[in-house]
Amino acid sequence: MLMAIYFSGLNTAETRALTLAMRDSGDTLKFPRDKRPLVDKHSTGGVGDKVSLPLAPLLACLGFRVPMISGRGLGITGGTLDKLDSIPGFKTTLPTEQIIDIVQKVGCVIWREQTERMVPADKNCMRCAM
Amino acid sequence: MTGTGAEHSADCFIDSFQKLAENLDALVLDVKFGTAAFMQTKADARQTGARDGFAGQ
Repeated sequence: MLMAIYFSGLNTAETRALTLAMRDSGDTLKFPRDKRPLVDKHSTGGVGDKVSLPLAPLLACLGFRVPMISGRGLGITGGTLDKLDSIPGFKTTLPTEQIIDIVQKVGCVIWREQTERMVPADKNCMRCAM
Repeated sequence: MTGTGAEHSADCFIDSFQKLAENLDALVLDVKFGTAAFMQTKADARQTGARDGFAGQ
């Protein structure tokens, strides 16, 4: 499948279908009903890493809920999680219940998904690709 | 940047799938451009943002 996508590409409908299938391959976060919208930010990548750390609390202040999944650095500059992990005592890996609880109470959380339960299909695709 | 564009692109792709599992109402796409990003020019970044934003609707 990955080779076919590489050579033939995906149109918008195919991209949408693949994306939803990936999402539905595992567990998803389920938040209580709330008037505050759930939002997050995704970057196309590059050296910088200056957006996530200020954006999550800013959005929370504006009345959004931000369950921000973040990643480690892909290059020499490190990623958002690398920076947070350098703070003594700061935890970036949390159980699902605590993530939801923090988002509901504080408005935002930056964390790392480390289980095989969320979007396992993409992890399987990466294993095949490597 | 130590890896190839393809490696970085794949990593970004995976992160975006994980974002979907958050059951969001909206996702802000931060399209970076410049010498240390995938998109080299502002025009390329705008084109990517328009395409991916449309795909996500």
